[in-house]
Amino acid sequence: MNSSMEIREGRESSCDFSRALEILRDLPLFSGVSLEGIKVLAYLAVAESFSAGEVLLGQGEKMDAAYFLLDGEVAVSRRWGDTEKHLYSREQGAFLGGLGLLAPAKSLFSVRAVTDVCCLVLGREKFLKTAERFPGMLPKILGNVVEHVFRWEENFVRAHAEECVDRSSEMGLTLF
Amino acid sequence: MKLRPDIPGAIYKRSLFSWVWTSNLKLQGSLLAIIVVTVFVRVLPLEMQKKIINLAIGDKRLDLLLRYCTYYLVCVVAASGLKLAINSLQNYIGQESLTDLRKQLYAHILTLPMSFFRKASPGMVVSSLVSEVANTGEFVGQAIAVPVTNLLTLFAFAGYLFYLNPLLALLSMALYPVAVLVIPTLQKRTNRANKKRVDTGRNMSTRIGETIAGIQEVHGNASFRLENRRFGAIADQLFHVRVIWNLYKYTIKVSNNFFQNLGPFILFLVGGYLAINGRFDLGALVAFLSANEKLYDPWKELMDFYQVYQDARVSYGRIMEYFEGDPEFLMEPETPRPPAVLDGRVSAHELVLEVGGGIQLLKGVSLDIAPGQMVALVGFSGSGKSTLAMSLCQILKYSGGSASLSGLDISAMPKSDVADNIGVVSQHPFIFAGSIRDNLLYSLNARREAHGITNEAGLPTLDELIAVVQQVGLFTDILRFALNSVFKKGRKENLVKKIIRIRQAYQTSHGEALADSVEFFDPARYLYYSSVAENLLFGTPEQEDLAPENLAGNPRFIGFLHDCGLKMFLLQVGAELANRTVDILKDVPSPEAIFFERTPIDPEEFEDYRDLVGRLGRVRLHKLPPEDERRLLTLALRFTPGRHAIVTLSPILEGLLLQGRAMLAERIAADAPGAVTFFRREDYLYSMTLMDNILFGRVKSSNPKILDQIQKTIVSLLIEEDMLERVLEIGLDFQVGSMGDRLSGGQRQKVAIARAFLREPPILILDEATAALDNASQARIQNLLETKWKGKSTIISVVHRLDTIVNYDKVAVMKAGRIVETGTYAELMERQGVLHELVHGNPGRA
Repeated sequence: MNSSMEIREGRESSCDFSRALEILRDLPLFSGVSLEGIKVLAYLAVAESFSAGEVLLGQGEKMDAAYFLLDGEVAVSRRWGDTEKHLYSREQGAFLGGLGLLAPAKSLFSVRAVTDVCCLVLGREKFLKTAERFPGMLPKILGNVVEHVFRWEENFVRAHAEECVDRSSEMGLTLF
Repeated sequence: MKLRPDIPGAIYKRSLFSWVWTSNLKLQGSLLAIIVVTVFVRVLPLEMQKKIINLAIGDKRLDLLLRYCTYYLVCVVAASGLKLAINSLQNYIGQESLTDLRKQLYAHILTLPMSFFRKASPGMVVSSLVSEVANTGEFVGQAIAVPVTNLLTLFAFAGYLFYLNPLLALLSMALYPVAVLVIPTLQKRTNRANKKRVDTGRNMSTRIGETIAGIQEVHGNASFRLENRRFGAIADQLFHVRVIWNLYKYTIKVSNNFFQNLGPFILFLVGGYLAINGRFDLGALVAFLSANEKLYDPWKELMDFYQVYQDARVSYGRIMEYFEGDPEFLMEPETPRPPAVLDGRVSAHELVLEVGGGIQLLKGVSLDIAPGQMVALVGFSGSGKSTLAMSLCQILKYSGGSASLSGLDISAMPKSDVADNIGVVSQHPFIFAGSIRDNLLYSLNARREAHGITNEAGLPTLDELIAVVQQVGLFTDILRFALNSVFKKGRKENLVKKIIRIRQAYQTSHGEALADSVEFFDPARYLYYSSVAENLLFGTPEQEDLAPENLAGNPRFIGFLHDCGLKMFLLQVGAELANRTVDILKDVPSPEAIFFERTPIDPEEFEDYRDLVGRLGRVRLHKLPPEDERRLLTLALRFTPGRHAIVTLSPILEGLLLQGRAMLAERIAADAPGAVTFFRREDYLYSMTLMDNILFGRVKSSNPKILDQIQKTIVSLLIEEDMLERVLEIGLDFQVGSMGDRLSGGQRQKVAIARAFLREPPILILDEATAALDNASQARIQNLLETKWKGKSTIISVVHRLDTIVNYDKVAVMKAGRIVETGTYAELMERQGVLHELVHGNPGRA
């Protein structure tokens, strides 16, 4: 690593607060959350780098942080038995693992860095401690999650109408 | 004649006086001998007084005057010396008995049943053992000496008075019976007040103990006022109780004085009349007056002793009442014998455990476990699975049915046999203050101590210890503790030399690969992961006032900042840091430590800086008072751009700081050579951690994966250099803090598992022992149980997470205090009963 790169990194992380604030404010998950709360989340979020090939999140691992891709590319995959199947890639601006902030669920997918990746990482503990202190925060986020789930199922049933009728017993996530 | 009355074995049944009998009787005997001499030398001066006045002065004989005065002087000196001897002996006897009482009481308290500790507060136990027992000791010390000395003195003086003049003697003592009637009445009230004082004092201890234990909650809720009010109420109550108690005590003292002072009045009146009439000589009257006055001393001491006795009686009674109770189990075999060796067979038949209110936690549980079997107890919470496990290792006592270990009835077994054969890991294990090593060896040491082993026998070798540490997954934690330790200069010099060698090897092999994750110390470059102070000094300060935390208060250093044009810059950075932090955190109610990881402000300083930010809005930086200036510079000097991302380090300031580093080095070389040892690749950096030293730099990331990766490379290097054990030893010496608070929940549980494993007991009881561990560690322990322990030791495991029980020999499913089904996992799942429901959830309930 050359010296100019190192200096750039140091500077970059040192101006992260305002950038982190902008990023979090634009995320649908945090839509409607008060600025005071978002400020604290942005302040607590940390920029982390991952080298190409490194696993950000492994299938079956507890999700305990959310990642916003500042730079680089990640691949999302899932293992069925012994075979690992690549599902899709995500680039700068993608947000992954938001649900992991709310509860320590085990990830159904693996997320791996394809190139060197820089992420803004917000850990669950930090998030929950902040949410505890801003009582309006969790209901807003929960509302956003519900909205997302409804939108997802609506799009799904619309796009796969026939399949849905065949596998009707598996439908109805939004009726949970 | 029997010297000692029968003293009951149970401490709480012992009387206060029994402690006098068990005190050092030899010393008590010497004390009595001294007392007899003392009484004699106390009375003799009175006779000398009479002789000086009547014979020496009356007959104008100088030789007699000198002789009697010499006798007088000898008596006075001897009386003082003897008094000192008596007090010293009393003190020694008292303190010895007090220590004996404390030790016995402590030993008794530890053996009390669990149910006692559920009700008892630690504060209460502390105040009983530390302060309340003190007056018992005082009493025991005085119990023989004081009454005997003073009664003898009293009788001797009284006898002397009768010898001088029976009528006057009678008159002067006429008032004592009145006092004897009045004072005990007052004393009863004093005792009542004293009982209240003891109780209120205990309430106070309990409250303090509770608040300190729950301090996190207090800080979390900033409930300072609430807690102050609660404490204040008890403090006020104690104030009232103490005022009343002291009032009674003083009333007793004053009444004593009053009776005492009335004495001379009668003497003057009647004695004076007799002397005027020539029926009483003057010398006798003076002696009489002196003797009468001296009567007061033993009387007063007797009264004081009476109070000491009463106080001791009250506290002692209260203490013994509180700790009344017998151990539920025999502690050790009645006749000494080698410890029992069990084969691991466990069985329970119709086991019942009933608690207060007739609630049955176990309702007739039967279970047979063959040696080496691995059994899981599962069920909904509250089903009694933990209770069953705890009943099998004597932590709880069952109230009905029977249970046995290798055919021996558990309820009749001595606790020592159970402890020798069973290792217990609880869900929330307790870690004691001390090192990790102390805690790992706790169980082993407990058994070694119990069997009187003082040499190294039974202790694991370092290799064995490390092996277990590795098995339970504590290896990386211990390595991390080691790598984070900072050595004082002059310590571990051999290691330090090797570390420097490793540093070079490390740099060659991994330097390039780690360049992304580590910021190497480079005199020509600014370090984003070190503080501004560390960047300026770029070395280890050898003088206290140059330590980074002291720089902001060091006038020479401030002068330097001013000279190199950095002062205003840094004040501005400090102001920005304070403003930003306060702006972000001002709306966070009672922010805890986690909210201060990204700012140089410490949690306890936040309020100060909030006020300072308020002032910054009104005053220009250059007009700030010196104290505020110091505060801002403190922040600026702690500023670490890589961690404190709320403020940017401008390129201009960065350049200036690098210039400053060079200037400071020059100035130190000129003004105070040797005050800072600058970082050089050939030296050990004593202000830095072992890790920083190996890397000759700092890890930039806090990502555990990256830290792990770096650790792995360090481990392989340490192995190559044959230093791993040496370094791990340092980690084993890591101090875990009070109640192990410097360890995470997972680490504490791993320590507890390791300490049970180290004993290799034939029976292991695990009560949700892996609940706090992450998946990988849990799987590791599970694997270990199945490969290393299964078949060798009986394992009874209370399990909450059901994905781990597949390979158990037997699964017992509990519901509402009963075992509802038993079998292998496969059998039970096939049966589709309660286990099936537990594993898959009840569709009706989801």
